[in-house]
Amino acid sequence: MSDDLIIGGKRFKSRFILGSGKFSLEMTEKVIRNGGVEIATLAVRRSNAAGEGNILDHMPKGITLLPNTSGARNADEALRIARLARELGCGDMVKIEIIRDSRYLLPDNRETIRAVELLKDDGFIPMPYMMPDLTAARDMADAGAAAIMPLGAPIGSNKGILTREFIKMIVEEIDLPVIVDAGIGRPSQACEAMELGCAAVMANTAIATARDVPAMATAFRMAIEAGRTAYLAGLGRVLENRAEASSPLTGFLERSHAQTDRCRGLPSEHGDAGLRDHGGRPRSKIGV
Amino acid sequence: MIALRVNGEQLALDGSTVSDLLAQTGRDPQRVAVEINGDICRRADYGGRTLNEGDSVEIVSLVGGG
Repeated sequence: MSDDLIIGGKRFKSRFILGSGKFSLEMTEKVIRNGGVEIATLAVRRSNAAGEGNILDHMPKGITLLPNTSGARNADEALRIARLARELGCGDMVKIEIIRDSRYLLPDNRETIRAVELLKDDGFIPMPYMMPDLTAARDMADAGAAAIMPLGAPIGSNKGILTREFIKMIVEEIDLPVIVDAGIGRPSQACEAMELGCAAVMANTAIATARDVPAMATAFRMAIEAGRTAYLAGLGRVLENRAEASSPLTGFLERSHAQTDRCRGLPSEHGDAGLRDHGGRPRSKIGV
Repeated sequence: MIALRVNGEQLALDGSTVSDLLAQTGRDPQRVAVEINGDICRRADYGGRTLNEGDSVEIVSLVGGG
């Protein structure tokens, strides 16, 4: 049975979405290949005059281009950028990114909800980048979002999933792919996002700021696969306030009386009255 | 010559169409999108669309971004 990622009716094998900023054109290609990436984000900017290479010439065939609306400060600007991106050859999937804060780059949920409506009405498949807030996520889902993209930590910070409790709520309550985007700084954090039940992970700076960039892309690919496999396998339960032995509680070797005195609280099947309760379970305290 | 504002700067176009503008500024029509006075000009219209004195043009392309 396939475990494809499905966004807006489109199917993908990879759950690693790459932010393509901060790489040289040549490195972008290597990262995409090592990461097994099928979706890469791009930005729309004023074009420079002749001479420079174009990123489209460095995208492997078959990759899905996901334009972001970075630069937009409100829903109308986001729609304008989405339309330009469509004109530039991108498909209908658009990452809505509306930011009015230049220090922390936090997204504006209110304008983003409005942008989901505008883009949906214009035939786009909206994927809103948002501050994790269940109520806002619900409004975005109701407005026609195809996915929810909550941030883990500020863009470029590599701080990890600071917002995990709020992302967990969205995963639990919203029936859309949840894609953690921003703040993931190491493969273990990408793995954690997948273990939480997220549908995919987006990362950019974590790879771009690594010492060995292509190797880090590989590490992210492995971590995302591991996290997804673990999630589907069903994570084991957590014991909050006690242990449960992993080795058998029977068949212990005979102990001398001196050893018995020293090993209080340890289970033994030989003459250790007081070390077990009536149910045969080892007691943690002796002589109480 | 037509005086235009292109990507925020003054430019004198030696020609009349969007195609002329892209050629003059060394841009590949297949790699850009064009907005004239806030409205997108479709790629198919680049050859036929004439520009007017004082038009404000934005020429954009895709770049790396997160």
